[in-house]
Amino acid sequence: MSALSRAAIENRLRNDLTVSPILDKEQLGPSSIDLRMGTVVMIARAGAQSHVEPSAYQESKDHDSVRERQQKHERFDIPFGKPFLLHPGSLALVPTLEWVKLPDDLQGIVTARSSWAREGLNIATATIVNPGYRGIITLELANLGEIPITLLPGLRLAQIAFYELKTDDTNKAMDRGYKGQFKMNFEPVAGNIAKDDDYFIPIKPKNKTKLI
Amino acid sequence: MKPVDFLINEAENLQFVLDQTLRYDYGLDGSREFYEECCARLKHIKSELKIIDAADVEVVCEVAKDIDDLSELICRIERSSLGEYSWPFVEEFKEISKEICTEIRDVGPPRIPKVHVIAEGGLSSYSIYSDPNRELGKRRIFTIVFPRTLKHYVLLHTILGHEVGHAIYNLPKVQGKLDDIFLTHFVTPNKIFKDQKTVVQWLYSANAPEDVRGELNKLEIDHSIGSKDFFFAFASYDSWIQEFLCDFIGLLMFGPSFLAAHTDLLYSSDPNGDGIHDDHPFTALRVNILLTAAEVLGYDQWVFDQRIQSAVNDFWKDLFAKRQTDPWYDIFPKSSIKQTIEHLKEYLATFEGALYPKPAIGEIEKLVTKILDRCPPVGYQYDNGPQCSHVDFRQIIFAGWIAHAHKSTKVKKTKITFSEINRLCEHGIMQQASIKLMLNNKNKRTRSK
Repeated sequence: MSALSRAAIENRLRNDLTVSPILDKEQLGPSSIDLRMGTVVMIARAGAQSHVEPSAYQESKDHDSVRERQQKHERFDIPFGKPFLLHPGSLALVPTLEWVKLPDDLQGIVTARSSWAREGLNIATATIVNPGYRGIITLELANLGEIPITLLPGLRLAQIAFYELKTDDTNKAMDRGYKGQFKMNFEPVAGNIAKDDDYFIPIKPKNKTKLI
Repeated sequence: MKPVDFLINEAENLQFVLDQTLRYDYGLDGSREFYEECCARLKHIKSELKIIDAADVEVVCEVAKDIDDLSELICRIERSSLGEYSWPFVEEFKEISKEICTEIRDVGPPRIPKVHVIAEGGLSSYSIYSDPNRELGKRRIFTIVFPRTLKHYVLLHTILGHEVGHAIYNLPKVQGKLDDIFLTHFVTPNKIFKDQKTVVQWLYSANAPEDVRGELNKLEIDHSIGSKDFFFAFASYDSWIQEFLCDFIGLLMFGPSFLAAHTDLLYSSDPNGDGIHDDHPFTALRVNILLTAAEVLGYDQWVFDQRIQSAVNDFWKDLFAKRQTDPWYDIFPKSSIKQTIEHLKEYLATFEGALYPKPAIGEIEKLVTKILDRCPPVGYQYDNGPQCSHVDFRQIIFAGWIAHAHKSTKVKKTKITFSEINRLCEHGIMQQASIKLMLNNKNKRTRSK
């Protein structure tokens, strides 16, 4: 599996690869495209949960489950020009400004830009962007330093490189487009850690209401 | 407690609550200007209360009203939360309505209004509260209200063009000019709407639609309101006239998108268009007038590339299908609508950004193509390098409506829902703001070299 060179990336950008908008040709590196911070920040709320509980993801519609999911993160809209302070030890989910659409034969790998890493900003992103994906990419930012970091929408925080897939000509049905749980997302959403793993998660007994 | 003492106490409460609003940052521009404006108004009120003659009932009532208005304003601001409305849309909307809403005064510099945004209520919540016409502070405060559930529905937000009409009608100089145009070309020459008496005759005529006659009958039975007191005890003739005017302003500000949003929103709660309202004329009448106005403006005659022309044709076909065919509703001749819209257009053209611009060749096609490809519509493409261009956000919205009419969005395999189209367009407006920042910065750097 080899990474696409700049020339190859540019060729794909003219055809079936979308990274929109690329505001500056300086975003194009020798084998990657810089990605900018978008305008939403989601911060895990301290005290909202006592612990991360996989079984809480199984019941999706009752009051307690919905409340837990809604209160898990605090959501901030950060318009251009407004700063957001990421405090030490905080984990923030931010979207990229760019909308990415990958063709079925390309995979994206997202990493941090080293200049930010040296300031203590770690991008613990879901590093693989699947073929066929379309939407913003969620960057998971953690401040590993000792002082807060000011983030501004539009700043280049990460970079994405592209790898061509080796497809299986005998089983093309398996190589269809992406159908994952994060299809066409406009902003970060909390994942479902229990997805498809129900058999490993014991069923929690429901609380019985006492009748007086 | 004596009335004046009560009001003095209430003024202190207002100060306390106003200070508490600084616990949070409101909106994009922050809280400073709003806080200082409200403090200035409160200071004026307190100084009036010090010298007020307690026996002068009229003045006491006026001050009480000022306190009440300020209190309501402060409470609305507390409900302003950035995450509950579409800030990308609001920023662009403020830009195009800034000049038209600026108050030109006889003495002193022009006053640019302060704009706040809140989200509340249901489908009929779209409104712009503007300050009453009193020289209390330094700047007017306009509060834009979006329905909470429609946060991302930028295609429907174009209805706010109508609300701008109401807001600017409160500016004395603008009101004078609008009245001059509207009364001269639209109201006075009309056989029916020239005065209340003829409107009532038309309403209660034998050839009124059966449902209208039924509603009027119900009004009589339930509330004892008949033809003699229809405009006295129930409806407001002036409000009805203003609604027609604001519809024209909305159409001129947002183009075909306004018409689409207008018909969808109004017909959603009044499917036959014949509901009788105290402050709004019949939906069917308004829609018929607007469809004619759109024809006069030539919106339906614009030709696009064959990739989307069929969708554009379907868009207009769907809109014209909403015209009520009962001739009872066709009381404004095309010539009068034409005269009115042309004069209004000429007047609005004097305000930078207010008039909806005709799309550039190929512009809508590119935007629609992006939406159908499930990408946010923006002025960007990649040829020999990234190429960014300015795109008016109203074209992004118009492209959204055309994409919604495109048959591919209705086919199961390639279906894109109305909600998704709205999200894509809103995202596009946000991204376009970043393009605008970049291009403006580039221009500044080029000019300074």
